[in-house]
Amino acid sequence: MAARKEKASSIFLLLVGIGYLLYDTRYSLDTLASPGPGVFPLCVGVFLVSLAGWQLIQVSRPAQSVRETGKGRSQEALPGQTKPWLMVLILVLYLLAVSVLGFMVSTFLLVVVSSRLLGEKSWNKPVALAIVLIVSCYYLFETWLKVPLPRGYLL
Amino acid sequence: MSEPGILSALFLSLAPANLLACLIGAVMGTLVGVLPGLGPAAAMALVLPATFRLGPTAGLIMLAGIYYGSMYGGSTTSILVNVPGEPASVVTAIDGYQMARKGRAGAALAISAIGSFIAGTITVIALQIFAPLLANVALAFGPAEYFSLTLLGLIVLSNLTGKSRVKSLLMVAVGLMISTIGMDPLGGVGRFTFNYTPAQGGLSFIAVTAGLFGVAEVLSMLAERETPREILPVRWRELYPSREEFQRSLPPIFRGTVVGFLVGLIPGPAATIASFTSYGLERRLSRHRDEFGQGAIEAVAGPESANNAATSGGMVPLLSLGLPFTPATAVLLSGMLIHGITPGPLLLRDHPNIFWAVIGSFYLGNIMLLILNLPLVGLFANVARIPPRYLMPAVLVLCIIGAYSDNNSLFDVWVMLAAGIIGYLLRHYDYEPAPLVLGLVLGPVIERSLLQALTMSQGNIAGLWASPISATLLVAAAVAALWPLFLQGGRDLKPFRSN
Amino acid sequence: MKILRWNKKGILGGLLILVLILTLAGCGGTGNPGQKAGEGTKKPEEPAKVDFPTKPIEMTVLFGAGSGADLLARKVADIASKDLGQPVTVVNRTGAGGAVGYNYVKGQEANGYSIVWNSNSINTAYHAGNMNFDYTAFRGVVELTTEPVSIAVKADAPWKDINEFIDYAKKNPGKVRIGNSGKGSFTHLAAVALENKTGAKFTHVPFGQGLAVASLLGNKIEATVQLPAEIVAQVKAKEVRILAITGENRLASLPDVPTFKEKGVDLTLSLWRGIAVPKGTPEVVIKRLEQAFKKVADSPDFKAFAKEMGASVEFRGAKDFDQFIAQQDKELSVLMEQIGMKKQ
Repeated sequence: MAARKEKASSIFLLLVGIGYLLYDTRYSLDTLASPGPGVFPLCVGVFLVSLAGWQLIQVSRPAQSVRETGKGRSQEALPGQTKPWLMVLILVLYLLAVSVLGFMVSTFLLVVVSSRLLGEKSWNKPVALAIVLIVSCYYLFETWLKVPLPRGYLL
Repeated sequence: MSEPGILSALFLSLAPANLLACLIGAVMGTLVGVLPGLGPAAAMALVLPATFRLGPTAGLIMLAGIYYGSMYGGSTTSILVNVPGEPASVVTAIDGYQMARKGRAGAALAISAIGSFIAGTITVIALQIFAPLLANVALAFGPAEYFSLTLLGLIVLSNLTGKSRVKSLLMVAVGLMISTIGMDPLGGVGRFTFNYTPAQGGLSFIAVTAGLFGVAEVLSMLAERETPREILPVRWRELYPSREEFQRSLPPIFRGTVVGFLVGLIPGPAATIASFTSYGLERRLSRHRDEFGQGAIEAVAGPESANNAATSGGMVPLLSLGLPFTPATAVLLSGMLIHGITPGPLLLRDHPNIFWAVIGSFYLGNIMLLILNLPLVGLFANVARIPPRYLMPAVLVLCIIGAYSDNNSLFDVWVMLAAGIIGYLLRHYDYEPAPLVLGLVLGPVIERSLLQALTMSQGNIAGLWASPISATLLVAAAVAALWPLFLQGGRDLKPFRSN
Repeated sequence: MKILRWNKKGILGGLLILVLILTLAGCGGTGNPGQKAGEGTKKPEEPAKVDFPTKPIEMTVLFGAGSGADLLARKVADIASKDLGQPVTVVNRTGAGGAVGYNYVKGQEANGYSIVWNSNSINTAYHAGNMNFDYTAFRGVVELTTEPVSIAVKADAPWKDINEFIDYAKKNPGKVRIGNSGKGSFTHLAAVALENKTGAKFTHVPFGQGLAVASLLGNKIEATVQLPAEIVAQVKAKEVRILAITGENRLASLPDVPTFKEKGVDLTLSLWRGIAVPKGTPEVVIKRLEQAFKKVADSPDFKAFAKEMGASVEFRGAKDFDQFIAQQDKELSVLMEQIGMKKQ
């Protein structure tokens, strides 16, 4: 289990590194006396690819893989679970909604829905929480600190 | 230092108007530090026009109050909800948040306030005595030296929690990679943006950290099978650090103070580097090393003192050379220039009253912040006891506003969401987000100084180690990088553990 | 059960206090929390002619907090907000020689609430290839200041004046490392123009905020090409000497520093600054802004401040400013072509 995770993450990072290096080819390296914008990303990409490759080789050795068991938090966060991904979906919808409904309405909905997702049984408490949050955010940011909150087309 | 009237000038900071300016600055700084998204530089810029009317002394006192107040506040959200308010508080989140989950939020908050106070007070004294002397330290660092220092930092500091060295370095690499998105640091080419305009400015640091820490925390909490445990209320006295916690914290506070002040002298994201350095140092020195990452009080005390000390350290080049190395000190410089005050060697000669009043306000501000923050500990500690089903939605809103307000752009909120998913997956695959943050912060610095050093030596790589400082730092970096390989040599292959 | 209830009360109480504090703090601001700013605010003192501005105006500054551009912008914003009756808030959007900020403002609604503190960077950033639109994406409102570029060396540097410095750079090509404020920036351009005019050869090192001066003081580089504002503190402290400035005339704040012209080098370059808005902004709004910023140019307060910053006040109204930018664009494009920095 742990070894498979190590292997999967190494391969993924390896691919990310290769993709990054491929993208970097469009930037010039120029000369050492006047290095171009491609130089540093090249170093970083090579660094990433070689580390990921090294880790992949290490975990692929059969003797090694048994020992490396991921302890700690890994058990509590299983990506196969639906709830976190549901939350991600809610946040995506929220971001789409913000540009239409503006900060106030979308955030109200977000707070109520996410509170329910986190195990809240009633409706009135999250609604109250949402109102308090939005009102205090409005005063704190818009009025006092003069930081504008997102606006939508409709509101 | 024996100017006549120093004392009277110091007392100038006690004038009611100045006292009030200091209080407003300190409160505002704390607030800004608590809220992710708004940095001290932005807040200081916000009140800059007001200082026109306040006059130079009160104006500068208020700006300075915001500057160090923000360092007090920065730890609060790190500890309570795992959302670092600013880069310098990222390492505080590692153990601070674990403490909060164990019901020791109050202790963590109190220790970071006390540590900040001690660090602030000691470093102001150091600033007062050594400022002219230490000014030249900053000047000894050119691009080549800075490149070597950052490289050393990346290698030594990456392996913060001591789990897997390769994985930490991988995360550093990913952080460096993310840092190259946007315009290259010397101006010119937009990179890895897929020609998407909002990405030209790069990925917002706040958005990435809010995602990696805050949103990822919410997602992980949702993944927990059993309903998240609720922290039992504790008695009032238990809110504050126990005698043992206090004793364990003192040495890290003093070490963090020294480290922070010295790192603060050097240009760049000094407060962040200082806090990482302090964490690394404490983990190596601590007798409770196994507790690091699980909620060690030393891991809160050290870094929080260090980042506060670094803000004082950053005042040295500003006051003695007139050189701002961070955006926040740049605004402070603006504040001085606007009033016709030129910082630098002549500040003490031309405007002794202002110089001493500002120094006086540092002492005063630190005391004020301690008085302000300690009672708040009780209030804030309650936040950690709010059930997740109410607290987490609020955390989400905090993250969203933080990410959005950095550039007033929704793109950054999307970045935050993406970083949240990545942070969630990282946990699942046993990777740490902190080294990624380190790479992200140091990436532009290391790239800029590398390219500058090469340009300055006209393409001769030897220019990187031409000066003794730079050569020493590079040797140290090489030793740090190769050391684990030596250790591992004789033993049974054990590449995934560094110690 | 009891624990839970206590908790709930605690939270609500805490939040209530928070809201109370914030309400008090926000007292000075505009009223209703539920309403969007702009809808609810009325301005009885303004005649109905132009209902602008009814909410804060955001001024984008293309360079970092504490830079010369930023300091002037904040003063301008402060003075203008008095006449406009609404705050003008300064936001720094930095990067790519100004391209990041221009890009942002260009993408905002053309209603006058989003203005940019612009400069020659609109020309240089385009021709250097940092952005895919040029000055025609904006309308000029007013030009306010102009600043020369200064060549500075350490106080104990061997060169007595600019001519000796140039001679040295001619005889030792590439030996003089000169720090500018970024590849393709106006200061870089000025240094290349100097090479062009004199045949000297420098090594150009791009720096960022504050670091060029630090490197100069630390003997890491031989000279810097900077706006006077960024180095005036060190000049006053006699740690740095300015050899010459590229202005038409000497600066009031640095009366001892000669111009290149005086020293027999035919190099005059000035960095102008002003206000621009996205194209398509209504004419009445531009008029209103022009009127407000004209007052800034006329105020003795601003004149004194500009002098302190090594700049001089130079006013052009909306029409003139547009023409001026167009003419500058041609000139800078030719200059950048000559020195091989023009990409588009």
